[in-house]
Amino acid sequence: MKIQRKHLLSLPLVVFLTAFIIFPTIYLWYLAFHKVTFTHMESPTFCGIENFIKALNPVVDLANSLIFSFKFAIVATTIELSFGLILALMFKRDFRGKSIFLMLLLLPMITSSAMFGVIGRLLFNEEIGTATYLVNLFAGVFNVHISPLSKDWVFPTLIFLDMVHWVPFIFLFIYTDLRSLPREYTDAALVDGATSWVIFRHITLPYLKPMLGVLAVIRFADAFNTFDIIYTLTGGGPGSLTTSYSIKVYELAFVKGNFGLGAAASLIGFFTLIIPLSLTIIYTRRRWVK
Amino acid sequence: MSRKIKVMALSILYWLALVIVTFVFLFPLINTIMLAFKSDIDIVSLPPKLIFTPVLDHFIKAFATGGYHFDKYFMNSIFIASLSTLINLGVSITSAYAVSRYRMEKIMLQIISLRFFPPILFTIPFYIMFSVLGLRDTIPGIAIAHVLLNLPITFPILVGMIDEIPREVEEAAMIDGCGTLEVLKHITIPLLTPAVIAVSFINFVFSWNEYLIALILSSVNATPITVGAGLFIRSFGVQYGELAAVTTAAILLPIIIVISFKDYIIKGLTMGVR
Repeated sequence: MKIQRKHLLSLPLVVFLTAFIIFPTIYLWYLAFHKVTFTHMESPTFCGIENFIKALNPVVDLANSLIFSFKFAIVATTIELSFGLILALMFKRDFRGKSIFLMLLLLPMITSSAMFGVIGRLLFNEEIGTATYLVNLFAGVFNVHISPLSKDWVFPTLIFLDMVHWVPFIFLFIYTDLRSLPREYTDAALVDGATSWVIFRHITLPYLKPMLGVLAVIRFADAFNTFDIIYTLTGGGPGSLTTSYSIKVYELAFVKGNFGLGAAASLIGFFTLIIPLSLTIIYTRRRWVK
Repeated sequence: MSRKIKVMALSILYWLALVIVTFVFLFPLINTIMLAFKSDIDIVSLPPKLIFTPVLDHFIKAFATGGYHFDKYFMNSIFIASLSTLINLGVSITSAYAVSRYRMEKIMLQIISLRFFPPILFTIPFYIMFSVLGLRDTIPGIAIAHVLLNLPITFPILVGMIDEIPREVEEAAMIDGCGTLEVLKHITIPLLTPAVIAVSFINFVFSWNEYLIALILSSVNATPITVGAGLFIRSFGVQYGELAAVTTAAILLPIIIVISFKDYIIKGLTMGVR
């Protein structure tokens, strides 16, 4: 009786997931092994692993976009986690107007990623960008001119924007976790004469470790898959300098119209992310348990 | 005395540091909102003007007279986000209850693992599937796709919040002769209201903000405002004022929602990662 009831209750979800997750996943594999283009959507012909071979061909340039995505994910995750942690530590003690600061800091987080790219376009614009103006005011002292969206500076600009967008998210989680740290721990350490560095290194950090681990994994995966903010900021350029894995797949499938090739490329990208990521998770988990 | 002054000076410095950090984080948003209200002449003037006479020209042009259809894009966004919220709740409420009460760890794990699937993976099969089903470039089509992106975030929140409702309340009702569905209707759902509110707003905001799936599934009829604003960059040439006005409109609604329902949303969001 009970078994029937629980299956009945979860039926809507199971049906929905089957129709829109399981079926599309199978279909994606099917597409990856077939010749399907924008103009020949109805009549796919089987072509073996041709799409995969094509995707790895230097002409398609998938490898470079995967390298870019890894680079972007590593730099963004490191910087954003560090800043989020520093910010959370700053908010540890009470001060006047804390709740207002908290709320204001969360605003970039709830702004659409795609809109953040557009915001960056306006901010770092060559003609009207306020940030461009301010940066060059500073750079002018050294007699250099900085164009934030040119090929030399686009990566730092992108990281800066992504940081402003995502640090609030990281901060929120570390901050809530930090508040659940029992006061007795730090108080006892203080009585024993521990410095604030010792407290941070041996009490706060070990306490936050699981949360930091989860956030690092989530952030890394999201950064690797980033589409919106890069696409609306640079469109993948200049050249193909900021073409991330997702932008590459988008171009192959929806700009060039080759669905089969796009499907193969998206699968290759997915596995280059998920294999190292799950190995890291398994490895660190084992170490932490010890 | 001097010690007191030292403490005071330190806390002022501390406060100042916070003000600067917060300002850096808000500056991109402030800059955009200011641009939206500047006249064309003020926009291009250097150094950037901090004080100017606000004008509504760009909003009027983008939403009414300019022939850009942003009024329609804005309404599309509202319909898509609302519909996807309704679908999400319809699909997940009873299931979240079952997962919580009968400890169906497997379903939970599968949904959480969806979080690591890049959305780009689904775009290609969705494009073809939705074309065949006649759902492409329709509001329900985009709404359904958004539910899939939001489920890995909202579903664990719902389950977590149902976990917090004591079983005893339900068992008492069962002893008094209620069936599972009646318990759900009279006891659990009323107790669940805060969770439902949190999940609804989170789903609404995420769906409103989504870009990639909407970009691929919309072409003429169902374009939401985020995709519309992106069009400005490519198709309509350089019109900074209008671009800023549209962006302002796109970012303001989520901000208003989150500020108004801050406590629900923060509680829900921070629950999701655990």
